[in-house]
Amino acid sequence: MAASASNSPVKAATRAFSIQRKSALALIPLALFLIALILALSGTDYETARHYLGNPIVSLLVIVTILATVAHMRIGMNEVIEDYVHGSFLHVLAKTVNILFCVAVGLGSIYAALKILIGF
Amino acid sequence: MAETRQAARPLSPHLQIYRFTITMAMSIIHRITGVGLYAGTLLLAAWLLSVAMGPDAYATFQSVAGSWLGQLILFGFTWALLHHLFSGIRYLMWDNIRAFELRQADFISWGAAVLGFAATIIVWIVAFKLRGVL
Repeated sequence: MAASASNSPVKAATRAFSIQRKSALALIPLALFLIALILALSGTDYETARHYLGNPIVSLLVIVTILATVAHMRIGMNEVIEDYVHGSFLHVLAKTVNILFCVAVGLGSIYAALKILIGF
Repeated sequence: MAETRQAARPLSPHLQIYRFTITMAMSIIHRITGVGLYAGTLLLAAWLLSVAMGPDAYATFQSVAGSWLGQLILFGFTWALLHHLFSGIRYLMWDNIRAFELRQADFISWGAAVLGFAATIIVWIVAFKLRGVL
């Protein structure tokens, strides 16, 4: 019973509302960190870029930024789809593509960050 | 005197009927920059993957990012991110019933627009200084 209640559309919407605001709050410093990181590495050589991104603290912050970003953008795009994409087939398709895109970007970025960190 | 023909159902007024307000414009721009940033995460993924893949891939990424088109897109990405950030802070304030009066709401909306643009310019001045261009 508890499981079915937590999967109800109302609970899901409340959860999305809450995640959207928490991720937004987290992304204020994380987005600024990301800009600073990209600035520091813009135009540097490969070794420098790898050295910075291979730092465990930088790597952790990058991964947290990616997770917060993916969570935030999935909900944001879902809202856009709910407003503009009508018709049951297109609606479901758009929402599915949204999830696939967010998972792909998230996994690709985290894979890269871990590969730089550990060097597998 | 009853109407014999059924009148067309009234439509609710849409965007073009309303007077321009900064809060309305900022709402639209918030959504547009959000969608832009969504696509822009591909750039972030490409950047990280190029570093992970090695010097050749990184060199390719840098030459594309350093081209005039790449720089234009990166400038747009910077603005979209900073605009969305400052614009988003307004929503967090309103969630907490801050700056809820009309004039305050207008003020922080103009403020977010100006801050987003100014911060973008500052970031790019720093970027050019770091590269020794300025």
